[in-house]
Amino acid sequence: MSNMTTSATSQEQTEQNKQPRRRALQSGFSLLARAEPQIWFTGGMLAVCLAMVVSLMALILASGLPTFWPQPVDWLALRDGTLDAGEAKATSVVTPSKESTETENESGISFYYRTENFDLTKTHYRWFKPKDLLTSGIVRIPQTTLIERFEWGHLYCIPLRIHEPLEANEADKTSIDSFAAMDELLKFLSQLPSFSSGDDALGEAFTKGTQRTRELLDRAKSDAIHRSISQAGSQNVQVRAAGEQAWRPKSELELSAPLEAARAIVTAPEDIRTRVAKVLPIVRSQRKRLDQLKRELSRLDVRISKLRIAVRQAELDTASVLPIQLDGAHYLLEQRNQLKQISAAKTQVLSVLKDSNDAKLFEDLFSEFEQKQAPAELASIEKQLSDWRKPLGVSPQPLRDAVTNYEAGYSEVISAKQPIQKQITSLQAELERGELIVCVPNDARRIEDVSKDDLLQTASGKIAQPVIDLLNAMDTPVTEDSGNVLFASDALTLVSFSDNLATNHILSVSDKLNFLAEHPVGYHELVRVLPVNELTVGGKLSVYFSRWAEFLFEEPREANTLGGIFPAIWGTIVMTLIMTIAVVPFGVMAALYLREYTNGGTLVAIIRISINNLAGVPSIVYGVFGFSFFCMTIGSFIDGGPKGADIDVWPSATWYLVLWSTVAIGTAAFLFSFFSSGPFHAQTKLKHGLARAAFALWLVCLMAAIALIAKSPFFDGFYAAQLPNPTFGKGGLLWASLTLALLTLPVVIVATEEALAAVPNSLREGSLACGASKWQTIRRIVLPHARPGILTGAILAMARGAGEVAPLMLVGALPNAPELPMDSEFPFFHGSRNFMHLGYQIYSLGFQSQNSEAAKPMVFTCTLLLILIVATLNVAAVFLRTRLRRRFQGNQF
Amino acid sequence: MKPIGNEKSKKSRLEMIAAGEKVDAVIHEELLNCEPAVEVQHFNLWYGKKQALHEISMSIPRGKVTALIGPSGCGKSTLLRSVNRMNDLIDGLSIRGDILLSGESIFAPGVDVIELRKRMGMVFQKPNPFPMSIFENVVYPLRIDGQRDRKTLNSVCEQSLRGAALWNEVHERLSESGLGLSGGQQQRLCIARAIASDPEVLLLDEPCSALDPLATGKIEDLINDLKGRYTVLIVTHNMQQAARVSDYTAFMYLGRLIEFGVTSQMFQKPYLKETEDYVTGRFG
Repeated sequence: MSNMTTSATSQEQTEQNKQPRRRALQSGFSLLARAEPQIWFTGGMLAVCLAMVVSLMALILASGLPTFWPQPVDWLALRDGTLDAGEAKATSVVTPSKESTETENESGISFYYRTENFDLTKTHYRWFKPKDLLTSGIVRIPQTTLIERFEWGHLYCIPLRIHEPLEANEADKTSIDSFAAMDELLKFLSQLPSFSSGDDALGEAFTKGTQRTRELLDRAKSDAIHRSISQAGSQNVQVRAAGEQAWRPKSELELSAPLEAARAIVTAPEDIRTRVAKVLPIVRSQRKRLDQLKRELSRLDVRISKLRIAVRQAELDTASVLPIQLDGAHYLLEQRNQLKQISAAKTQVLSVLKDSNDAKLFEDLFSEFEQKQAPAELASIEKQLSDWRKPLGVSPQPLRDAVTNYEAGYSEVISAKQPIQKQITSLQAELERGELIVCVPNDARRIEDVSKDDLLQTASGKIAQPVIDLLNAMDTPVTEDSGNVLFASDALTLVSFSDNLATNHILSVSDKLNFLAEHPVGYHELVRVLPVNELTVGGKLSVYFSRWAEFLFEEPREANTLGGIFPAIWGTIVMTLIMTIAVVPFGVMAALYLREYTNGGTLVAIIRISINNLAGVPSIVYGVFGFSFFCMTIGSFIDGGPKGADIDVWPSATWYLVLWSTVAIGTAAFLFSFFSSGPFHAQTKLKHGLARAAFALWLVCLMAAIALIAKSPFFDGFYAAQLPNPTFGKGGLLWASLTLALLTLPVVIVATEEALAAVPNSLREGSLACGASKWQTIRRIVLPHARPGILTGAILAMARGAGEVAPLMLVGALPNAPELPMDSEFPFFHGSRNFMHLGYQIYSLGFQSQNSEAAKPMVFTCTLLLILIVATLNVAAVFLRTRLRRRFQGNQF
Repeated sequence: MKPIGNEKSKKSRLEMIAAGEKVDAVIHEELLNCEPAVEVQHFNLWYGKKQALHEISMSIPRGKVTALIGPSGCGKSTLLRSVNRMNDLIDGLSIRGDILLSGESIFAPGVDVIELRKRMGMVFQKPNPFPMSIFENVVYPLRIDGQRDRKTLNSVCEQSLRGAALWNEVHERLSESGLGLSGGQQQRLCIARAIASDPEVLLLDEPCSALDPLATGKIEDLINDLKGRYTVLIVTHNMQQAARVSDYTAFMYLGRLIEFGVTSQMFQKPYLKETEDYVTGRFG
């Protein structure tokens, strides 16, 4: 029946099919004709994704890029009678809330300002509510200046004048220096035991010599000041007499009187500007030189600590204990060093004094000293030194040598340190020579009772006519407490219209007008001095780029909120590269074995699944593993051997037993695998068994080898002398890189496997048919063909690794690591050093720092930079990949 | 014409195979006296449990072109790939019987399969030039032997390319990628590569199936040129091609060798009706 039905239906169908189809084309508007709904749907999804990515990027760009753009500075007059100044950052409209009773005061616009002047105000940012501000209380004063300081950050101010000590000439400087040196030397001599117990004649001569030196020094200083005043000519100079505190114009003092100090004062705005422009580069170079000197000093310190470690190493090597205190010799060595410099100091002073009576005095003093006291003194020091050394007599030779080396090295270092320290002191004095006096908002006090008339009276003749007009036209402001008060806002208008001279005057004439305060800024504090409100676009651009350059190439200061982040950039790049170098060979080898040598099966499937699952382990877990395995186990093992890593060692008999059995097992494994090789079709059951046994034996062999190293009783670590300070047994660049390499291993393995799978089998067969071995085929055909794909894996791994932060917290990244992990010092790469990392920087700036508000712009700039670095690495690798790929594609049509 | 085995049987070979009976091949008289380059002796091959070749015995004459024909899946390619042991790569493969190359067993335990493959050139169905320059493609067999002498390489490259009738077309762009050539050129490049190591036997696995008629013609001319110098074993689906290029033809069916003889006889007057049916296109 059913058969019949089917045939009937099919017959009907054929009849139907014979009819010509009559479906007319739809005319008019058809949505479906435009596009399928799926296109809109998928396109819409893409648009959503794009919107999210773009808005993220836009947020980072918008917050990161303007950080260094110089913004105008406003002055704000507050209702409580104080002033503030800052860069506008944000506004928000305040709507009166229903519960609030003072609705009138609440409504309006709130302003968010970066007020800085941190040392004075203790705030970085501040909200100004509508009720805080005076009406029209925001004024932009043209001569407002932003000073970027080396410490304490920005300062918003108006420069008033410059104080600068007068320059002494070279001859005066030399004589001052030599008298000062002599003074110091005499002070040193007076502390020597031979002086306290010496005869009276010498003591008398010594006291006389000391007094005379002081006199000479004072006179030299005063003379130098007089000479420099006469050289300074018509400059505006103030002087201070000896023993006095107050500065006076030079005309008020007799110049023949002994002077203690003199300074030039610059007040004209243009002069201030030119002077600052001239000083800034000098300050910069001096600061750089200072850094250099400090680095040299620390290098000398490192040398001493190395010698100390060498002594400790000798102790360990000879299994003996140092019978003396190393530090015991320091004082003696320093004294000996000073004694040796006496004759040099004498010659210096005598060359200044020439043939005067004073010269005779010093000659006598020193001839006596050089002939009798000094040799005796030296001999006693030598004797003390040999006493100190005496217990060493029983110590073994290497230890004695190490101590001798230490002694010699220490004396060398202290004599090398002296000139450097002297240079540092003089450079610091040089840096602190001048100061810029500025006026800053004084938000601590109110202005009271300064009437308009007072001001006009006191400042008469100094205030420009428009200001006087303005003051006259001003209605007397009305406040709650008093009827006749000059408000800060009016004063601001006044300041903005008058020039520096008038401002100076206003400040100086009235103590009551204390909404502004004077503040000195030493030359050494200056980094940039910017007239922000008068900058042209070109000027702003140049400031912008110079700030970026500072950010990129300099070291951080002020808890990373200022200065650059070069160490973090460098740390990120070096770490990423080392991670890549570590992970790619491992990953590629593993993938090669999985794809080319295994023939599938459960074990391989399990391995593959495990590798894929590794990618899902939270990265902090890798950090924990890296810390406990790399730092605490392997690192401690490298530092101090099995003892350092808390591993019980085998007795040497056991160790040798295991060694020989391992060799035997290894040989057996080799033989087993040798005899089990061959093509599959030729394999017997015996061979199959042999292959399995060989694999097991290799495993045992590997385990035994690891145990042999870990349990060796003969290894005491490479850095035992430094213990208990760990070298590798703590976080460091190497361990961080390896931890991240482990983290990114799955990425590389999966990508490489896919790349290998994409190599056409016909190529492998072609190569094998040519008589190539499997390895030759892999090396010459498969790997080159898979290289673009492998590179893709490496790129992904790099991007993942560079952006990873969590594990780094545990394995070596620090918010501030002064030493670069890779530099020009031998051995160039210091894997054990801590390092800085951009990602970690973002975390520590944004969430760990004391004032995260101040660090916020830096957070976004760091993010931007990190993205840029990752993008650059990616683009470079993509470029490389495209070039490689082009080689394999040819120009097929 | 000397048929071997159960020639008296009235049953068709196909019926016998279907019934699972043992079928002996019909081997023409002319083949019995020739000098064999490759001898296949009672060769059986299994992929896992599935038997792909049954008791194949044949001698491939030295210096001649021998074509293997038969419907798809009859084991032609398997047999070809057994000759240079390319099948070693396949898991679960087992064999019985033997194949001799110039009288030596290729399956003997001491045979180095790498050395064996160097004595045979192989060309595959689809052209598979390596992703490197034309020059490097040709001298690849020498490179893997560690040959570095530029002179030797150059002369071998020229000889092989001339041998593969490709020299005139590519000698000006030897350093360009081999992938930039046309399909026919690529296949001739593969032939050049196969003859670069001067093999004894050339194994061609349907070398023209991916090519247009023009390129096919060129390859066929080339095979004719190669005749005499190399022993050529070619698998083909194209009857005309087998008739044109080969000296001897072997007809296989379902893993058995059915008939093996001089090409002209095989195509004009085969001994078995099955062969006739197949070559005339009545079945298959």
